Amino acid sequence: MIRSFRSELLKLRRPSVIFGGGAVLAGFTVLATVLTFTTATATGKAAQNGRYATSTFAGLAGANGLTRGFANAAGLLGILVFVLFLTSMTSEYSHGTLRVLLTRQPRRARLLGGKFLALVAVAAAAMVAALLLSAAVAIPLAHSRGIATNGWFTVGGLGHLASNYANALLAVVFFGTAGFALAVLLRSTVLALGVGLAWLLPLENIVQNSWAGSGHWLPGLLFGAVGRGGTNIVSYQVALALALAYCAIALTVASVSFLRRDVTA
Amino acid sequence: MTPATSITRVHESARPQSGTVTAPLPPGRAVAGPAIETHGLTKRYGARTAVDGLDVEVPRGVIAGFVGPNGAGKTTTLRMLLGLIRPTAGAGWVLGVPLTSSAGYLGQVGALIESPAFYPGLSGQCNLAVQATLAGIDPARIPAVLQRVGLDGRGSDLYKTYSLGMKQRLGIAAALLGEPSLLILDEPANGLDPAGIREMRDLLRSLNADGGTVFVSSHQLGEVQQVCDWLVVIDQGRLVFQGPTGQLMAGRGDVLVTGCQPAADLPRLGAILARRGLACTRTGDRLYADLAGIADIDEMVAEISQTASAEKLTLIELTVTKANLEDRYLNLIPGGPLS
Repeated sequence: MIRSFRSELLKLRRPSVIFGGGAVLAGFTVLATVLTFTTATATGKAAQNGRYATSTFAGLAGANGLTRGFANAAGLLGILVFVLFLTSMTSEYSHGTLRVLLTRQPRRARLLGGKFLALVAVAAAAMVAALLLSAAVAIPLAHSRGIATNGWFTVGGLGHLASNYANALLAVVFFGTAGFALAVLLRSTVLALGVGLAWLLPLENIVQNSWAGSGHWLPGLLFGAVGRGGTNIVSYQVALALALAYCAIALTVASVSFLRRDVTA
Repeated sequence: MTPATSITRVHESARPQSGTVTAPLPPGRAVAGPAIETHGLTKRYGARTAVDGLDVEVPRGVIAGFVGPNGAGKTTTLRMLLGLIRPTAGAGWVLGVPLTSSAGYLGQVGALIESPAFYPGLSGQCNLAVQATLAGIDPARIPAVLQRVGLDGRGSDLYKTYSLGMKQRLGIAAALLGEPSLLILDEPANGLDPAGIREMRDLLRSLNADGGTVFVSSHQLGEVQQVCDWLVVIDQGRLVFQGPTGQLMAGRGDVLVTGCQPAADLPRLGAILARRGLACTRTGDRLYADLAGIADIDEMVAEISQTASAEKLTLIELTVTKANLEDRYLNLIPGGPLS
């Protein structure tokens, strides 16, 4: 599995992943951070039907203010990681490289496991970059809006930074796992992306608007809730448990399929 | 590297029961057995049978050609040998190890299946590094294999900038990475120019000279005839012929072409041939005789020449046309489409 992990990292060093993915990551992070600070008001705006509440000046001046924008970016970054995990697997089918990989590493579980862990490692590194970028953008934004930043650089602030990072990482890995499983099952970039994005973006939002309790059950909403440390609809613990369960099921089904199906690509 | 002159059915006791995919490995098989051996290998996709009870045996140390019409089941067979497709029934061994334990032999096998498959956004060298890392092969071998296939100096270029022939060469380089004792190649000369095809021929011979076994699928029967000393021919998923190439080429198919002037003397010439036991047919002003079963063709041709001269016949043609592999192949598979 270590060889598979290292081999996958070599592939992920290609310019299209580094520059293309990096640009989208930076764009999403900056956008979420800017919106977090520019929409903040003295009183804030209450959350509606599970949607974000806008931040208050007091809230942003608190210990977790530095990473509030980063936490809000977790959903968007989740979609990016979903696409990364999905396409890294479907491209093996479309390029025909899977047959080459399997003649080099016929133990399919090791190949799949190493590949997945490499993608998780890349997601973790990307989230560190996003965290640093968000923090770098947050500081001048806070000053421009007159928000005090003294509370950010305290022990409590560092604790929030660590927990927000962990939650955001968990959320994007959950999104990535869903993309990975879809890719293994559907084996087609167009099909898997179509199904996945249609479900995560319009479908879940439509259901959410018509069914208030959907935040307890729909996977995309649960992943997002983990990234934000829980919402007013679903607690962090419940969201985390359900998200873990969904991902375990998805990975199990995908692994069984990968181990048993013929490779004809 | 002298292959057996007849097809020997070995390990009969190891034949699997009907419907089973595996069979026990007899003691010593891994050392002394053929490079590739299958018994009743079958692959069905629903109602369609792609490979139908295939019994193949490729001795070690040969260059074996794997030929058959499009859709005959060649690629499906190769995929089963490489562990990519699970057989529906039958058993097989590669380098003495059962197909069901492909991890036990793939480290010694280099393969190029269908078209070369690489990552377009990575350089040729980096593509090989991905495979070397995955297989636990020392990446220091990469420059050597690139040089062996004539890609030294182009290894740092992106794969997507490669020509078809260069892609094919990189595929061969990848197959050579692990210093394999068995090379399985599917149409390796695709996209190569004449010089590249000659280099490929030389490469296969040099690999074989080093003691390796090569199993190569190809539609270029001229190449197969030149390079391969063992042949496996399949059609509609079934074995049609396997054995030394010479065995297929010997005897049937060579034709004696004769002509004389004036053409009115052709019946007299036909009579001479008939006395030699040759049945001939006339087409235009030539007689054609099948030389099947003639032990010493040169001696017979000399006698016909002397007899014709003695009978005052003026020969204007006395030629033996050697059948080639294409003729043999088309005899084996009537109407078999070649692409």
